Amino acid sequence: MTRQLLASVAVTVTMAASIPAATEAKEHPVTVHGAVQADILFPEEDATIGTEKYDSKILGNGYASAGLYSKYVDAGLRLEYMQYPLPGFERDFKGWGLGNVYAKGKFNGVELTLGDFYDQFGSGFILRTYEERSLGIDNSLRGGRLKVDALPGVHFTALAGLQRRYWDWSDKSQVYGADLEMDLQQWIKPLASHNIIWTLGGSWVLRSQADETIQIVNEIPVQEGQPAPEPPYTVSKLGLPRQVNAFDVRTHFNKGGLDLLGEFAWKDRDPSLDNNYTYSRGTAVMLSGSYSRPGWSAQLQVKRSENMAFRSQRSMQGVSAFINNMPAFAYQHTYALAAMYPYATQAAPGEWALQGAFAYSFKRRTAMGGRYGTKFRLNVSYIRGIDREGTWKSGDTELYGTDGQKTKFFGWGPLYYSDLNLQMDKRITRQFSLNAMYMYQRYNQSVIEGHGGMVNAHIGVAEMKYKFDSRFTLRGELQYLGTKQDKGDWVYGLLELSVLPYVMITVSDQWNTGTTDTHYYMFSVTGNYKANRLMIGYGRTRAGYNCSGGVCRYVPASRGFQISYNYNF
Amino acid sequence: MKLNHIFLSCISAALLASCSEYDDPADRFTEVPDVTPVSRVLLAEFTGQLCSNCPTAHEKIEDYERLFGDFFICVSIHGDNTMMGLPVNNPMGLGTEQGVKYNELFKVELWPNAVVNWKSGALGSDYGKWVSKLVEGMIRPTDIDLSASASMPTDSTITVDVRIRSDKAQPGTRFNIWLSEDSIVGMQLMPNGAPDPKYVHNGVFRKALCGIEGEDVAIIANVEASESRSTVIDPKWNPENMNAVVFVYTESAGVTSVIKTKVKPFAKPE
Repeated sequence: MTRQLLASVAVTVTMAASIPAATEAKEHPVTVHGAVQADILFPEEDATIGTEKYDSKILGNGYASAGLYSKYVDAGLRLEYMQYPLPGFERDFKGWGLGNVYAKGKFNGVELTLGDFYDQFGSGFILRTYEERSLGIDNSLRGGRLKVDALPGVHFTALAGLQRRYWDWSDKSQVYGADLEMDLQQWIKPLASHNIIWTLGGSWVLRSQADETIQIVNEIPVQEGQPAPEPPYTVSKLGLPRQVNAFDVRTHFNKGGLDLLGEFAWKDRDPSLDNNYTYSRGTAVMLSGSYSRPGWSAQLQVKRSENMAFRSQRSMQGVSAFINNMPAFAYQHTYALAAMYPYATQAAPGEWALQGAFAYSFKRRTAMGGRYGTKFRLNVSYIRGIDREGTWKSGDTELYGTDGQKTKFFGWGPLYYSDLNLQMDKRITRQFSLNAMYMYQRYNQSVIEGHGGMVNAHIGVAEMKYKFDSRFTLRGELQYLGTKQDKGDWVYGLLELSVLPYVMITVSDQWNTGTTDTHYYMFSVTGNYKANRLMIGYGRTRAGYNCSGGVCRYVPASRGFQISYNYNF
Repeated sequence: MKLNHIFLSCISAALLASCSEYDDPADRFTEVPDVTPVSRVLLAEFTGQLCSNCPTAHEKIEDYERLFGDFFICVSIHGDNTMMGLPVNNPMGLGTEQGVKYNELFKVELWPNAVVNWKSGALGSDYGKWVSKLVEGMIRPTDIDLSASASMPTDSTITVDVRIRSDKAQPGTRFNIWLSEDSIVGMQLMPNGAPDPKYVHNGVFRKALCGIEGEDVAIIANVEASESRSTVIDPKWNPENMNAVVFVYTESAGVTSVIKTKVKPFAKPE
């Protein structure tokens, strides 16, 4: 199939190159863009921080992509090399080859893609295929996609394909889908005249997968006065639905500073390893509202999801083979200690999640704003399990073949995660600015990581930036995490000198002042020149979770020289 | 096509799709006929003292021992601190260097995990697949008559004697001897996230006497092959609770016969 795709791409590229005449070529140029990315580690074993043992002296992940773009045809490919991958990726991640190849024809609002593509329906409740290199996720579909935007305000997508799982595109499972979105303001004139944007959308996804042999063993009760049966058990095979449908409906309203979103998704009976092979249907509902005016904004979101882990392979474990993605409702922190306990969305057992944000800017030359103005942001995340009979447990074979534990729609289960953080962003003088944050976090380590109980942490951050002149800027961070649980307190310090536009020198240390008294130091130099970016560093990285969008990957501890290179053209 | 036609089509499709052949719980199970076991089966369980889901796997193994009896043989293999265990050199740890190598050999990266009869591949914690592979192994007849005895000729050595016989030639056969130990009291992280310092570990892998992948053994039709291997007892072991699990396998068929025998304690001369 890869050879055929390559041949199609070659033919398409040749045709694309020959289509425009000299004058047309000027008006509709063919452009080529691409990128190179390489992340390399020269690992060293370090018993103090518990690194793995390494078979190779050099580990790395490399990507090289190129795309050709023109008025009627796009085509592209991406070469990937992970034969000796960085630590912490799943074993099947290892390999190399053409991970992505596609050709796209476009004409008059109709677009046909053949090959590998990414797409998302609505918020991703029933379909989200994407690439996230830091997590090793690439769940693209290989097949065909038709997009029709020919009618004003009507957007239609139909797709079908095999999902990528690392270096495998299993033909034992296929994914089909369709999505229709309508901009009502195109059809209802009063909406447009009042500057209202109102969208209605609906999606459908079907996973079709071959049967698997999943069996349970049942003990035969011994009847009084009767001889014991031989064997004393029976074995039953689970009937597994070959086709699983999922639907999603949504509406989005926007007028001025007001934005409202409502979405509901439903998944058919989908017994899988994620849900202990139970036959209950999955649901997700989300409401989101935000309002902004000059100087302030507010947002409130609520989501309830249950049994919405949707994979192309029902008995898969780990982070791969998901067709959908349940959005994370926890604030995505970038400060090192604030990101120490990141939340991973509990798609299979389900969750109630609330998130609110309020931002206010005090104007310059006021008492609270000071000379240059001051911004405050308050973020709150609150996530609980759903109210169910009994405790959620992976591998609960008593539930195999049943409709699962009874749950209440409005009931809450145990606390999974909560986070309240207040951030301030203030310029003190023309040269000096300060960002500060206080955060109180509760993290159910037992639910999210499988051990540890509830971690309660107070976190303080101060980030200072001093601009000497147009070339030299010095940035410093000081962070503190205080907790009585897990490994205890942490302190983090960073100094970064930027010599614009070419060089940045960074030194940092993350110090566990609690149970281990271990330093995780890092020194790096980053250079930028035109489209090139090169980072060279040396230091220790602590074990932990790297999360993006609610999906997390465990990263083991490591030490060594690191090189990171990026080039875009 | 009018808008309302589109809406009606979508709603109809949704309603049709919501009917499922598995709405009735009685339709979800099909009894598997002829599950009478005729051969013993080997389950290599990959586990860890820091794996909070692993006690659930141990409960399943106890159920299989009760239901399948002598047809079911399990050895629990612990790795190191990168495999949800304690470091190998930790005196409280149950991991071994060979255990680490077995995790790597079978590409185990999630715990609990299991490999049935050497060739199933890592089954993850999918207990439905564990059962299907166990049943598949137990109902498959074997051509191989395997017997073994394990004893302590001195108070510091264990010797295992193996006899293999078949009425057919068995080319490409290898054999191995795993020593395991029951009733080890040690720490185990439980599903509630708290450690239990007095957890009883059974069937813990201690040593493979023939290397990681075993040794070649020539099985000629109607000619008994006999092998004997010995080892010095590690100070961590309690030989009174030890067993020898002997198995023969080929790369294509996996384990073709397996047997478990208790190590007879050292008999002090009178």
